[in-house]
Amino acid sequence: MSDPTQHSFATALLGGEPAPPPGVVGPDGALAPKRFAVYRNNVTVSLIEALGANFPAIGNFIGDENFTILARAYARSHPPTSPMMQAYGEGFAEFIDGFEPLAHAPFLGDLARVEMAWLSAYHAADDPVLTGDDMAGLDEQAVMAAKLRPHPAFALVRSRYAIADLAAWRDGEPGERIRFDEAQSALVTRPLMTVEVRGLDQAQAVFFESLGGGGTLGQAVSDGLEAGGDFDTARTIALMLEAGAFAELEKR
Amino acid sequence: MSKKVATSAIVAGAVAAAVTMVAHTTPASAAGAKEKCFGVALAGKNDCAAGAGTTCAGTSTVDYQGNAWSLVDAGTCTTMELPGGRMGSLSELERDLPT
Amino acid sequence: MQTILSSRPATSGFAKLPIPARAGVGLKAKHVSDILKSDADVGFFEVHAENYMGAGGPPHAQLTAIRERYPVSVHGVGMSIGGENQIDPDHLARFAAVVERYEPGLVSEHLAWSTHDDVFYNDLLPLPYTDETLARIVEHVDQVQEAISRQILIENPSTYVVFEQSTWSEVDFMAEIAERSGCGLLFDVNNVYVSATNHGTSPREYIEAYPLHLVGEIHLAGHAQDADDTGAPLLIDSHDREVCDDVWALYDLVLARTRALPSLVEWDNNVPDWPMLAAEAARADAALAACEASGRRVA
Repeated sequence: MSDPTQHSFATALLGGEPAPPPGVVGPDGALAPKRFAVYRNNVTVSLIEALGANFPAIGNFIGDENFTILARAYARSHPPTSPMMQAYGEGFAEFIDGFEPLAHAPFLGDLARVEMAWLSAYHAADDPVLTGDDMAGLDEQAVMAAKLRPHPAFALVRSRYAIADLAAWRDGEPGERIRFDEAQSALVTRPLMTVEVRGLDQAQAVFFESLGGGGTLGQAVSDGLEAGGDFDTARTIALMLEAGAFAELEKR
Repeated sequence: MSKKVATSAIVAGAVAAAVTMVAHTTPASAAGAKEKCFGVALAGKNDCAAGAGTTCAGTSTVDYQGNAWSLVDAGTCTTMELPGGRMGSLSELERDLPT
Repeated sequence: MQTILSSRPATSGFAKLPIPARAGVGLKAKHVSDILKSDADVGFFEVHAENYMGAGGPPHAQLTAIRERYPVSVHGVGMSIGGENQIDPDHLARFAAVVERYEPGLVSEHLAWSTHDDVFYNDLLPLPYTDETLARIVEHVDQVQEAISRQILIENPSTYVVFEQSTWSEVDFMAEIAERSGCGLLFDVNNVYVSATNHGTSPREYIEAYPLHLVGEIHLAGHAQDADDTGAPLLIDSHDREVCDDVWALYDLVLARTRALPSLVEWDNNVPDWPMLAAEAARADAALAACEASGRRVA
């Protein structure tokens, strides 16, 4: 038997109509909209705050007041389905892409994708990262055929905009002017305890996509070389090791 | 060469060079990294308290009204170049936003 | 990209550290450095289980460092024990993994619901006190206790509204949950004060009627004051300031009627610097020491 009160209570929490559900009253037995509003407010405010904690770059960029409007609209239409607030905002990027008032800042959706990847990396498992030593012993054939297991924190977000640079907004307004329309991909990793975001050019992004997708190192380098004339194989592999993008050589 | 192909010699050479480049950077110790992270960790957002500053007065302002898009807060757009070669500025971003 | 929901509990291997009858503090990330550096003299730390349900990263590094030095209690805020829906098996598994990973001295949850039809409302929502909700809560408490193979404590809520359909008093309802499920109770003194004020009842009578012998832990917190639809005082359980004097007085009353119990100071919003929180804990410790000195015990 379903209890009608809990259902109507839930509906009234996020609905447009702030009236309390039937049977929910003050101690005098009278309707008490202001009392019920405490719950409504707690729900909405706590969700807005959770989004604010998860997407600080978006918040810093558009400012607190605007973020509250954006986050309230998202929370109302996309309330969480999991009790883990640290993961809330799965569809926030797509919501921002379609949010009319932000149409002039078309990079914000991708920036939210970077922030979601940042969160995932922050909470990812603490696997050790692949080091230069792991690679040093390989002969030529083994190097070509090597497949690498992505580190649990590894993520690649590709974009038409300078999203790796824009990620600096997580810490507040960046000191330097950002040319937002430079195509960048963001490589997100967490080599130890600190999440790192690096900007990749097109060819490097192709390399990481290939290697992260399960391709061999030989294939990934070919893909990178094909994608861009100035692909620097050694520098990109060095960047890969430095960033801790991979956890280990796949056992063959 | 119309199509660039990575030969095993090129890739192995690049790996060797990369390993040398990375060897210059001293990896932070795991313990040190943990110690450092204690100062900057995110606050968990699962709480058992009522929302911050949540009073009933706050309730009605926060919760019931307002789709009015406000002025972008001071400073947030000044380092941004907007599409169409426009320079981002507060008033400019705000001007075209629906209220 | 890996999902952060994957749970990968490390083998714990922590020394068993029971929660002492002392003051504890709700653990906040920003205090961890201060706590470790100053070797803070705190009886225990309490964490919200949901904040440690990721696979790894800084939250676990912090809690591991704390758990190596202090007793830890785990307080769930998202199980929706009072929910109409069944307990979410995935969430229960994650909760059990946190308990397994940290072997806390105490485990607790709330008399509340927060999930309905797959939506998580991120608030502790109130329940009508009826036979029907009682049966459901007992079943859910059982399920949680089964999943973690140990007793949990259930906390009395702060409430702002009344349900016309309620047929039980909150005190009797709590006692009956404990009786039927075998759970213990977490007695939140601030919640008693907030609810009593909001409903025009007496917090002292509530305490005098409460089955205090079932209480395994006490919570203390600060609240905000507002007004309801009629202009009457409406207190909000905001955990954003010091414990008020009235609540300290009720705390003394509770201790006088029971014994020294683990007592947590909660401060979740506008979290102050560590010394201020430590001072609140010291005040609770002083009350506990006075209680012990007076030698009052429940038979």
